[in-house]
Amino acid sequence: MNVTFDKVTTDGGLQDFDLLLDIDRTLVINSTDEKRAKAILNAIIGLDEVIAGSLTIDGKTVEEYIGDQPVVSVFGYVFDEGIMLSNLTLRENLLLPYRMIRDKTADDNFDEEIVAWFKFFKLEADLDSRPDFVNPALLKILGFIRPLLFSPELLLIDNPYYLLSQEQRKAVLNALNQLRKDHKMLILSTDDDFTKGFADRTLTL
Amino acid sequence: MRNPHGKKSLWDFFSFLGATLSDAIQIRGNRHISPMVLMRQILFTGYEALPLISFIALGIGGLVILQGYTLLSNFGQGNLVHMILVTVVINELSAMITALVVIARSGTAISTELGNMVVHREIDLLRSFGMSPISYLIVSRVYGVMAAMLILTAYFNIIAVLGGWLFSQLFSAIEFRAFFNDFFNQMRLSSIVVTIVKPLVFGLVIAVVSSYEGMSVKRSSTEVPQRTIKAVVNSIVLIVIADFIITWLTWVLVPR
Repeated sequence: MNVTFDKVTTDGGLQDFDLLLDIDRTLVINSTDEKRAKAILNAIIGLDEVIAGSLTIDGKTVEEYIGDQPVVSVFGYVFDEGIMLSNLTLRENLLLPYRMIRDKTADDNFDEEIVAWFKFFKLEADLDSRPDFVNPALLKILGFIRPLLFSPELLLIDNPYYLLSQEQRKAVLNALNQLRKDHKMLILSTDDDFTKGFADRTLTL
Repeated sequence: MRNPHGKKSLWDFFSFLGATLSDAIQIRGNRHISPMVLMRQILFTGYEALPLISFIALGIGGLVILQGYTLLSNFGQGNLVHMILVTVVINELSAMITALVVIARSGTAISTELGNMVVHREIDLLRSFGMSPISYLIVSRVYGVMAAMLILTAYFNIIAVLGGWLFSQLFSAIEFRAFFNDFFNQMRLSSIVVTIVKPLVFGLVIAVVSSYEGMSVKRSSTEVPQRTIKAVVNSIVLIVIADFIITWLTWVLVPR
């Protein structure tokens, strides 16, 4: 997958930005300029608007590339903080995109899938809790699980170690090492430990 | 909703209104519109406001009858008090006072909630799923507030008329049936049209303005109360303007 920024200016902070990202399997962007690196991820998924220039994936615009597929099947975004809708429970949060692309009978499969992912990340959580009453590190790990429910083509991960304890970092690193076999990943990391421990290809901005 | 210079123009508002109306019209097959958000909005805006609306409506109905009867009986026209009840309460006050209550309770709540969602990047989260925040958050609220306004205004009218009858017992023992016969004799087609159109338009204005102000928060939580104040002020101004326009159009178009 080739992601090309050609003189891209976005409302998120990129100015006449040129970059070619060749994402074969995993690519880690290591940057001291976190804002600019975040703007790259945000531009790809459409959170920041491209005001000028062109952003293409394999020669197509992002909209053309996504086509009729649900966005969650193409891009999975893991935010640096475990962002959840605060007026929904954890279960409702995880179900929200899930229900959008699957029919209602898929609710039955949801519990099975969630249990499998909880085991994978060695996680325990009460899914009927509201996000405000849950540890931010736990929300962060649920933020990994949420996009993985859709097996997206490309996982965009913003600072995977942020908010996590040493123990949780090990669990996430282990999980990402297993996931790299099946998923393309574009990871922004400002953490040198992660970059050294995980990256086989690093782009330093 | 993003503007690189951070300033909002009237164009931004109309563009937001256009996007909201466009999504609202395409309600069929739009999987982003949430029945749960809609039901919660009706519950909060409509059902939970009933005690306050009852209290105000009872008071307004009684006071209008009391003041009207005092004034008209000086000219020997005490029996025309029903006309005042229809003209003042049904045509004007019910929708306006209900709208002010809804602005105070729900307009502020919508603006604050959406503003906090922007600050906590929950809107970005929805967009990262490919979900439309307008459909999921705004359209559901627009329908919820419009439905609640319609129900609350009808309820206000019923309670105000009942309050009027109760207060009328203080100065003349009018029979319940006679009071309502006189009241319905004063009702015209224009009053019925106004009772339906005004709450729907006011509900649309409150929901859209409050949502727009909430979604206009950029990054800081200190913007949230500022935007909420704007939502209240702008909603009130636009409702008064809309009231003038609807009343004028009814006066011109609907036979009395």
